[in-house]
Amino acid sequence: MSFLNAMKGLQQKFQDKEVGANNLGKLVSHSIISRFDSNFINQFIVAPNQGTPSQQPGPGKKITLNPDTQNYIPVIYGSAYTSGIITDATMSADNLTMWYCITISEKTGTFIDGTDSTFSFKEVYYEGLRLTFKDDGYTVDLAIDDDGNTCDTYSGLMEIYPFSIDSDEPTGFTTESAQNNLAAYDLMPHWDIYDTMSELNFVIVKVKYNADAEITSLENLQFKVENSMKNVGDVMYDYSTNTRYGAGIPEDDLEIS
Amino acid sequence: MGTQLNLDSYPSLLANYTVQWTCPEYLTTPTGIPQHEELLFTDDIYPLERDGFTFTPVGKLLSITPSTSSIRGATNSITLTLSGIPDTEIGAVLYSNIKGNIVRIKRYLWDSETAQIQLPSVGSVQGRFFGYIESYSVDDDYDYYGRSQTVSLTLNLNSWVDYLSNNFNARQTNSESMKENFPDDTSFDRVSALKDTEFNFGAPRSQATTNGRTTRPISGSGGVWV
Repeated sequence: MSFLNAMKGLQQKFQDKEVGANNLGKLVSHSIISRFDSNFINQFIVAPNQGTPSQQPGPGKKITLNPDTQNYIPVIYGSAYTSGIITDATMSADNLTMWYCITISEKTGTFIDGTDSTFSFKEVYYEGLRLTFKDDGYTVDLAIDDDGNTCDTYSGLMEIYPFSIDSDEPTGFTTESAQNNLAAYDLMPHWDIYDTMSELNFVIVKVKYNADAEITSLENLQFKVENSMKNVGDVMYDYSTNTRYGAGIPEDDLEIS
Repeated sequence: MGTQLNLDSYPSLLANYTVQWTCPEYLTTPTGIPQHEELLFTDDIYPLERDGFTFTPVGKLLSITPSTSSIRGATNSITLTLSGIPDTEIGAVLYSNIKGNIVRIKRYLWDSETAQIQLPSVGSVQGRFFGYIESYSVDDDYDYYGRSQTVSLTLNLNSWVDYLSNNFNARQTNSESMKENFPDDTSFDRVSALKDTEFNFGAPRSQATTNGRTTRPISGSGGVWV
């Protein structure tokens, strides 16, 4: 610290000329309490570039999926609405059932205290209508609009299976008491045990074709999700240290207190 | 929340900055061995001992530009200038690896009535700026007639939010990106094969799904299942 010591001597000369307790620093009349708002978290949510279905004349509806292989998987902290990214799809031999895999977000790490963060699926919306489920917890029952009106147009035509962490970790919607217990690779017809969707939160959606109900593609499906990790300190710690989706700063380089 | 500073109890307060500059590769000669050095200084005129560190008083030789405090985490940068560095010591600045060094600036509040006594509550220590050195410059001002020379070191500091905005890893929706972390995971192997694939949803069974080049199913991809 040699150059600082030399500066100390120079500073002493200043002091000799200007001694006085009031020169110690500036007077302040109030303190500024800075705080982050959880809204800043939104900058980490990346809007995906989603392929759009196309329609052509003729029986049925031609759906063209155009997933972008350069999409970044979002990291979601706190609560958010998201449509996710379609990363796989398949259709039954009779052309009447489609399966989609929709990737929602990365599974986040641990809180500063070492406990795991948890990810939950709160609600699901189809064409702006909130969906409820039958007793099994995954088959769509009713659709509810903003005024509380209900309709059963989609009843039994869609099945929605949320997963948290990976394909072996089925979960349910927090509004439902029941949930699917099958692994994702036992649901998606062409998947096997190596389709593990490692460290991802995702949804498998089964859609049955029904022209009368206007279910001819996967339209505007949106999920309300929530990550238990939402406090600024935990979020900054997680995003700073994570090597998969964050800055990858070594933990030892961070001052955590 | 811990104890907060009750400003109602004080007619006025004094404030000082402390700077902790962590230099992992500190060198005073071009051929020396780099040493880890914690450069500690304050704009106080007396040495300041806090958190187990002794901060060298440099008084008015230290200046720090204002920073903006906003509700949302935002990129932020400030400039820290150290004036009066003796020219015999400037080698330490030139030979040390400065860029990227971490700098922590804190503000200490004092009771102006009792001067040197630190206020007893938690709120008397506040973080002012935590970031890293993005760039630096050395200004050499020589006064020919006064036979004097002044060397100033200016550090341009960026906040960690700026760092995080520009340095991140992210998994993409393709097989290669997935396999970087999970070599055996085949979940994203079909993403590129899905591109331009047409699913004739609800069509008679004879109308197969195509991707414009081949008829489904494609080996290893999605498409028709039985």
